[in-house]
Amino acid sequence: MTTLQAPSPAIGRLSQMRASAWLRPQMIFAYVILGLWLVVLVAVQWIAPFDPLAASGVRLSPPSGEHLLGTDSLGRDVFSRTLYGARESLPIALAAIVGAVAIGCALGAIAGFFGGWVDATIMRFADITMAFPAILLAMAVAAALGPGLQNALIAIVAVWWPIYARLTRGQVLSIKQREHVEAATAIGSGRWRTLGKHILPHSATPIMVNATMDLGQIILLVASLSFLGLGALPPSPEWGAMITDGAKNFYQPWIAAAPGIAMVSVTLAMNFLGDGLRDAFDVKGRR
Amino acid sequence: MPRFLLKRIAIMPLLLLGVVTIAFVISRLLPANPIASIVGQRNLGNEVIVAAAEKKWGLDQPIIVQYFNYIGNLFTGDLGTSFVTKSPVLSDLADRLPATLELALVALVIGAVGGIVLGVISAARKDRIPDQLSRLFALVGSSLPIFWTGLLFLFVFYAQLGIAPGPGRLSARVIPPSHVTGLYTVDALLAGNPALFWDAFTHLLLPAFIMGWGLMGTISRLVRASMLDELGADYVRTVRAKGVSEGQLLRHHVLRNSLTPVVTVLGFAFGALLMSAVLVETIFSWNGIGSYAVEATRALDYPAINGVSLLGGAVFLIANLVTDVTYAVVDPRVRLS
Repeated sequence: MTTLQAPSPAIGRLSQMRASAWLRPQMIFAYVILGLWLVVLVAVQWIAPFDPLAASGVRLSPPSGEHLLGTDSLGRDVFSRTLYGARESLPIALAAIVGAVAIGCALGAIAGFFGGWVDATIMRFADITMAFPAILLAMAVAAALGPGLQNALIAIVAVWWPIYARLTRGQVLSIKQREHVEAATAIGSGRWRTLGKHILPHSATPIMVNATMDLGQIILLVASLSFLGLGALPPSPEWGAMITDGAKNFYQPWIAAAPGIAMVSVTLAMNFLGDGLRDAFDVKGRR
Repeated sequence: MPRFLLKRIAIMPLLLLGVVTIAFVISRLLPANPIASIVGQRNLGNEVIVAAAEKKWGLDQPIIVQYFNYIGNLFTGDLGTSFVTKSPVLSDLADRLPATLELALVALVIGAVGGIVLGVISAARKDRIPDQLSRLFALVGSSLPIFWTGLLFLFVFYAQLGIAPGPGRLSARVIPPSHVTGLYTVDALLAGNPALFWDAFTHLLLPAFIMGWGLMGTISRLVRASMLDELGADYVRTVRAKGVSEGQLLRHHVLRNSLTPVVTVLGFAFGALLMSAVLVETIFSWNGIGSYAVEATRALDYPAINGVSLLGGAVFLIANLVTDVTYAVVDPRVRLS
């Protein structure tokens, strides 16, 4: 019990990190791309040249001086729609990851901290959920709830929480054994207080890093559901839904190109960021 | 080890029961009404037809009775009857499975070979340009929306360059080989028809590459990390001291020891492939399990959705079990308990 322990790498603090990891070219790329999209999110009504939902030109016209990225099957400006699409795709993905992390962490922490039948019940439920191929479960939930971005959000949270339940449970189990937790209990800290004040803060780093890496995947999942007709509904300029329109107009490649490139830029930036954070904090990926 | 195996196998039916139960609950407790997909939109107002259909499909029974009927039938191998195709779900799945299996296997080979090659390049040239490039390539693979990449590849390689075949498993007017395994490439070879084999094989390449590309990131990252670990081991110094060339060292000593962890991602890989199959099959008009799942969800065809969920869950659990066992067999230091 009294053996000395090296500080766990999982609880890296800013000061312990390799500073250079923050300034790698990939990280700089991620900051720039995400920064640009942040500007778009906030100021899209002043940047986009046209209304994303109204026809502003001839149907299916290729990129030109007026319509930088052409028009879609209803004559709407693809460039404006792509920019507005950020407001559909990104907040939903962010809400989904926050929901999955919140639910997963709460359940995982309770399972790891209290153990026994509580642990067994929660974790078996997580196992069953994870045995579902994520997209099938999301599709089934979204289909049953009916299409729509809110329902896609619920479906994704329902699919994604077990990952964080497992991660948090593992963290809690190992941190529970540390001396400072014992000390807190010894001076009379209650169970919930110990969990909230002395255990959870120490497991935050790996959870944050994993959430960053997952955000890219969730953006893809939102778009996939929309692409399958189970997420955003027309006339929404959500990126996956725009690509569906592009798939129907196969020989007008500009319709699908713009939302696709927009999505790739965000997911790539998120993956770079997640990769960099993982190296910086020396967190092991769960895969 | 046998005890561990028995325990794992014993718990599998329970997990599958859980999967089926969740699928069932989702399908019955949520607002959507499947009756429209059975009788068709225009008969929805006709009470006689609706009541007859509800009776025929057992939808007039209390949910709990429906549930136990469904579970009871599962034990006899009856997964119910699809609302849409009106044929048993089990035979639908059996018809569609080979197409997905063929695609997934080729994708797995592409992903594994590509991932190992990239990982080796990365580790051998750590932090230099080849390492950066191969990591970038792998990361791009896991950042791409697979349905978009599918469209892009079809547009570029099929429509513009004309060097790849279009969507589908075979070219138009080509007759599939007689059914032996259901894998067109294998069946074509068994039938002694190389032209047919080539046609089926080339149709596999684009969709399988897109699916495999996503896997390369996971696998190459693992191979890179584990090779770097191995390169720091004592025996590497000994081998170098003997004057063995770097290439030989990597190929004969380090790589062989570094591949064990790759086995651990097999289970994950199968799940991921099944997931991408849903999207890739939609884009490439591939008549497999993935497109079956999409058709079923669109039509609220619950017996079919439950059937696909059960199949997906079973594949995932078996893949995980095989992974754990293989891992213990390949690496004797691993103890299963």
